[in-house]
Amino acid sequence: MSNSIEEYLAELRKRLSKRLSQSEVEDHLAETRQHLECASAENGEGPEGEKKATQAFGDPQKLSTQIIDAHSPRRPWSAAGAIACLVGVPLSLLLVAFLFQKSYGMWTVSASFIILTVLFVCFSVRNGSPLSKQIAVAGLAVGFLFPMLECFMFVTTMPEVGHGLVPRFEAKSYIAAFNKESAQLASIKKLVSNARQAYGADSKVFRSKVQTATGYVVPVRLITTYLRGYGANYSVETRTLATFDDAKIFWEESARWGAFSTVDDRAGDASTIEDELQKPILSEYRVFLSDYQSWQALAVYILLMVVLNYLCVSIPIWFRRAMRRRPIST
Amino acid sequence: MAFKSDLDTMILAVLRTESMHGYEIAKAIKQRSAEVLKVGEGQLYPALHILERDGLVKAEWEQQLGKPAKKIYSITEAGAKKLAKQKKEWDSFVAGVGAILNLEGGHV
Repeated sequence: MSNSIEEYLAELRKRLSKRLSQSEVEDHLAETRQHLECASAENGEGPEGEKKATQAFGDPQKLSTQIIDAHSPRRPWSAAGAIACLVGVPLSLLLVAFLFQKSYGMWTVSASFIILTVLFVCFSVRNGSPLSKQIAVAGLAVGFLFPMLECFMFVTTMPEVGHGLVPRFEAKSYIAAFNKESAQLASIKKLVSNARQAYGADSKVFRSKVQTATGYVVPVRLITTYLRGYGANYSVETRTLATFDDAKIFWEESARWGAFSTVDDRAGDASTIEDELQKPILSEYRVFLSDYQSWQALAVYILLMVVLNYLCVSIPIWFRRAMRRRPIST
Repeated sequence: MAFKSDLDTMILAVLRTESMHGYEIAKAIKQRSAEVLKVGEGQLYPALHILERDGLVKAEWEQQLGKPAKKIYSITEAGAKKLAKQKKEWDSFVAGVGAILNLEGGHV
């Protein structure tokens, strides 16, 4: 250990100036000099007094580490970056698992981030970490950007409808509408199919399926009502005739002008069930939604991003505050 | 004897009565504890800087005629609140340990 105050301060300056700014080093050295001079004066002037003062002040190597801990923004940055990654990566994995269950490419990317995080934490907890502020910022960026990207994808895409600018929450109502329309069309198709079997093929098994309490039902035409916004309601206009023979004649007459018989029988561009069921309904919805709902997706994305990043930043801060306790010894 | 305690709280307690520079704080802790507690003098400054960063103490450089400037520390309102809280916790800790020692040893 250095004996004189000047030697002690020179040693401390050498160690501190590697990590702290010039003004921080100067402030600390001025304060240390003030302390050592007071102690030296009390111990007795001269080399002996200075030696006692510097010895009581502590080993410059250990002390410089403590001072760097207290002063340098590097270690808090490193710790915050490391823990942000630690928080961010599992969240990323969860989101990735949710979004891309069969995408091995994304799993590989996530695994790479885990390895990066582990290395990052190992470096940052090491005493005298070689991490620079830039690397710590890069760590934070890794911790934040990947979940942010996933949040964006979570909000703006939905695997059920493919990847595109279809907001997830909107896509759900859009799929519900599609399912409702599909169910309506399926029940109409069943009614037409029963009528075709009963009246066209003269099947006795299907005759009971078109029979009601008031007579025999004959589908006449498909009614499509387009809803405000998107989607449509499908219903079928029917006629009920008292006897089966009347109903059969009516069905055959209808077939001539191409309502619900077969695709081959239809006249001109009349809308048939077969036509309607061929419509790419989902694609129509997607084009429609991408035009006007994207701002909502953006708002939800920003909200998710803010919450996630708040957690990424605040958890390491809470952690550091909880851990900050310094013992003294005699 | 090895003794562990909370350096931050002791610094705040010393600064409660008057503003001081680092060396005076170290001396005050030593004197008030009847030399039972000695602060590692070098350790004091990192602790002071963290307290300053957290707003529990404030520091000002005081110019002296013909001598180097001194950095004087004083407690802030937040520091006083923190000290009161720590003191309350310490009192209940001492009361608890004292009760146990009385019970087991019969006398302390």
